[in-house]
Amino acid sequence: MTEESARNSAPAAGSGSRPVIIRTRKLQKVYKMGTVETYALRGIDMEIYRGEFLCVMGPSGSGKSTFFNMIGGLDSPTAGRVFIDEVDVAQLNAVELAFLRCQKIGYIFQTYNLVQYMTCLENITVPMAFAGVASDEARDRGMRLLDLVGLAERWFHKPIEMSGGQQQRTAIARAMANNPSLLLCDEPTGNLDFKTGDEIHKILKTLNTKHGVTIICATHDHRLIDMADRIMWVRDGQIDRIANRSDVTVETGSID
Amino acid sequence: MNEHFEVRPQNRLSLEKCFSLVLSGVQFRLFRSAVTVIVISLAVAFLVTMLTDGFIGQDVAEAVDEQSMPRKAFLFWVDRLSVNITEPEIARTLAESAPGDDRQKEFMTWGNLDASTISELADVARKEAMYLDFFATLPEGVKRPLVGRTTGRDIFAMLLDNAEFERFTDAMPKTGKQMPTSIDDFRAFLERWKSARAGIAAIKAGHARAVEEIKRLTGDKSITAVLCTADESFREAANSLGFRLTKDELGLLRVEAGLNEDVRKIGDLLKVNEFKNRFAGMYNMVARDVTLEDFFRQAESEKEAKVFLDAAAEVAAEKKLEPLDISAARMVEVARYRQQQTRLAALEAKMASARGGKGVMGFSGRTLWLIAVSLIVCVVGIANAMLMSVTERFKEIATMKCLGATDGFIMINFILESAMQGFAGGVLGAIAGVLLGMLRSGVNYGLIAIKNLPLLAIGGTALTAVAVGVLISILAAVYPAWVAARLAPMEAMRVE
Repeated sequence: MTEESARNSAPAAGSGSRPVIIRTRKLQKVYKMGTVETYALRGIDMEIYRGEFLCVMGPSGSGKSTFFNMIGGLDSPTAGRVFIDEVDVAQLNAVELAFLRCQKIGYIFQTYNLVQYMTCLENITVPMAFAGVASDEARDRGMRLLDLVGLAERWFHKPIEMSGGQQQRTAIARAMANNPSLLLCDEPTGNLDFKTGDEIHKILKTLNTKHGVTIICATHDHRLIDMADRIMWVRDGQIDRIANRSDVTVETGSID
Repeated sequence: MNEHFEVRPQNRLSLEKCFSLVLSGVQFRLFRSAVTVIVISLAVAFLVTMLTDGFIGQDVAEAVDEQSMPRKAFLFWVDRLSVNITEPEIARTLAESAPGDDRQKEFMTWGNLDASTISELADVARKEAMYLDFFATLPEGVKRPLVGRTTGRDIFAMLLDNAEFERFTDAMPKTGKQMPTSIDDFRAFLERWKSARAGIAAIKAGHARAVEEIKRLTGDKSITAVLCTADESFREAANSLGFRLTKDELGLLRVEAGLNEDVRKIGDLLKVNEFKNRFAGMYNMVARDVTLEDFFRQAESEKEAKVFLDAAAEVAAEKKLEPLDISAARMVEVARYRQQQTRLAALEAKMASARGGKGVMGFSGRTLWLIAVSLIVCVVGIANAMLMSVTERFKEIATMKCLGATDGFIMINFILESAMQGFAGGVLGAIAGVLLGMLRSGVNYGLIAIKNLPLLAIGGTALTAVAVGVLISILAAVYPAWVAARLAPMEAMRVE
């Protein structure tokens, strides 16, 4: 599928002049388990703007995770379309999808998902290896990324020798390895304590504001929601509500 | 960052990058890898042991053949020069002969036959051997309705009669056995066999005349005694009678005959009771139990041989017998010769099984079956271990895919890991197998096995074994690797 035809099949740019990085049209996903059909997504139409910080909320079973998989190029819809930067994801073959995941999208997981037998620096350079970057350049870039997240002196540590916060920071550096335009975060601070979580949130916000990376988070943490540009609620496979941060009141609260 | 996506095919990771990634992974899972490697090396070692043993066995068989050659030649000529040849022997010799060789020339002289007749006789003899073999392998119950109690060449004589042949052709299909040729071919053979009988008889008569003449020339002496001192004139005389005895053969025969004569002379001492008693007294044995082997066992060195010979000389003087004309050195030589003969005879017995083995490389079907089963068990075991590994690494694989690994990369990753284990196991197994095979042969055949190792064959076996190790590992890894490659990256993304 050439770029041209992929582009031409997309509808005209959305409202306003803001560039759109992700667009979904009547997105549907049905899971068939034997004879039982589960409708995970029942038609989602929405747009995510470039450089935006979006938080996705929703109870478990609401289709939040399915939605994440769709826009992250990890799964394909049963009906409807997903356009990542005007390219229809469903038209891409496996190899092209791999390219997408390597170069255009970064992933951050709740359980960090670092490779246990590699050092911090090696973990970060894995996506660069997949992108065909020479090992010297990869190492340099890796060290710079570690500087960015404040882990420069721990580059030789294995994940087992690092705390949760440090591992997550490594994961963020890894996600940024190939300068992706989009960062998908699945409960990034779910396994971390309050203070460590704060550091992570700061890093994410910096990436968004200073480096212009579009960030999409699935989270329950109110502090993160506080930093968002828009907030989306998903319920029963459909969008319950999308609102700008300014239109929403967020209580972060405190404990004395 | 970037403005537009340009969807390009993902880079393929270079092989050495794959290698280093796999290596670091293996280091992490060293214990599981070690177990797999040991399993592979066991199966490979088994295979290699069998093969090495087989190759060494073949080698030993060749060596035994070579070393037994002088004695075999000696026995052949003793027979030929002094005993009338029989028709079956003529047929056997013809079957094994080649056109224009010495044996055929002998027969041509004795039977007064020309070259074409001899080659016809030889052809008939070869077919005869084939049919005899067929009849010999029939079970008694099957043979009875076909040819009654007749055996060997008499079967052919019997079947020349038309009535008998009719009965034979009627009974043959009912046995369910297949003749090596068609019945018509058999019929044709029988005709030729009938005509060949005249030629065979001529050869037999001619040979008998030659033997008689030899007897006349040599008088009362046994042929062995004659051969001890046979010289060029003897050879010429024999050859003029039709025999084809070469100079080299004569030399060999002189040596063998001399040794055998001396063995006989020493053996004659057994018949002298006084000496037996003396010997038994000297070496603390019961006189009744003394054998020829005991004589030779006490003659290991020249000193001991001298003791023996002095005692023999004393007894000979007492009993006014002819003294033994053997030096101490010679006695030791004869003792060694005797020992070698015993050793070779023992090895010959063992060789019978190694040489007559059916199947591939002298392996019985059973051994091949064992090897096949062990390899299959290996493959299944490795596949199982790999599947466990894949299941444990679900998250890791899915994460790799999120980072940009292609399905192909994941597959290569696992197959490479398995291949490395297979290589390590193959090398270990090959080394262990070669050592075990040599040990086994050494125990079975004695030192003769270790002296001349068929290094090329063993080296080839070792290399093949390593290749086999790698192959079965790759084979075992295909399914698990495929499962891993198909894994969806969403596994890594667990959004609750």
